[in-house]
Amino acid sequence: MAGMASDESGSLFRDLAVETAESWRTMAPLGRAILGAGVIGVVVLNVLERTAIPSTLLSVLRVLAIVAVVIGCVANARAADEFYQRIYLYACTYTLVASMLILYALAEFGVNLGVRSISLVAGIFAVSFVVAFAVLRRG
Amino acid sequence: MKNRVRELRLERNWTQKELGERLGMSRQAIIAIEGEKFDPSLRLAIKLSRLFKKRVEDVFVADER
Repeated sequence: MAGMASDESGSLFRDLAVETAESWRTMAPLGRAILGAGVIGVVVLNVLERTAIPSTLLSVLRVLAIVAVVIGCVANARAADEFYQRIYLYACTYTLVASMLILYALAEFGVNLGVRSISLVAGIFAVSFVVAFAVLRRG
Repeated sequence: MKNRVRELRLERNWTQKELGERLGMSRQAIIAIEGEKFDPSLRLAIKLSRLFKKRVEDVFVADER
């Protein structure tokens, strides 16, 4: 019986998926709605050409979608347990340092990413989150 | 910080998932605490100790520095 209780380790990505789903489940409905709308908004609005919607309106909607994603992520972090909040903290720290260095280096070499720098920061955050999860879980 | 969480959990034949549910924590949090990769907050440490019916200092041992 003790052998059964000693359990229990899954693969990194499976465990991350399980915990992410759990954190989604524990979020308040309003937070879930905002995060869901934000993610869908970002995807849909970035596929749309500027000719499909007036340019200013499209820009406003894109900004609102990003704001919704950020608010949703904060709501997700607040709903999580302290271990998951620590992962958010580590991921934000990694992201701040890495994105600052990368964006600065790119600018110094004359590469200006413009609005795509947001995608770079988001990508770094996603990688940082997985790394922080792996580091904090097993060291 | 060293701790006896794994030992105390196994004495009670609880899985990591069961212990997590009793504490309102994820299984990953229990894995990280048992692996001494994550030091819980004072609030959680007290909750854990009460669950095991132990004093905090009987569950957690601070490293001497």
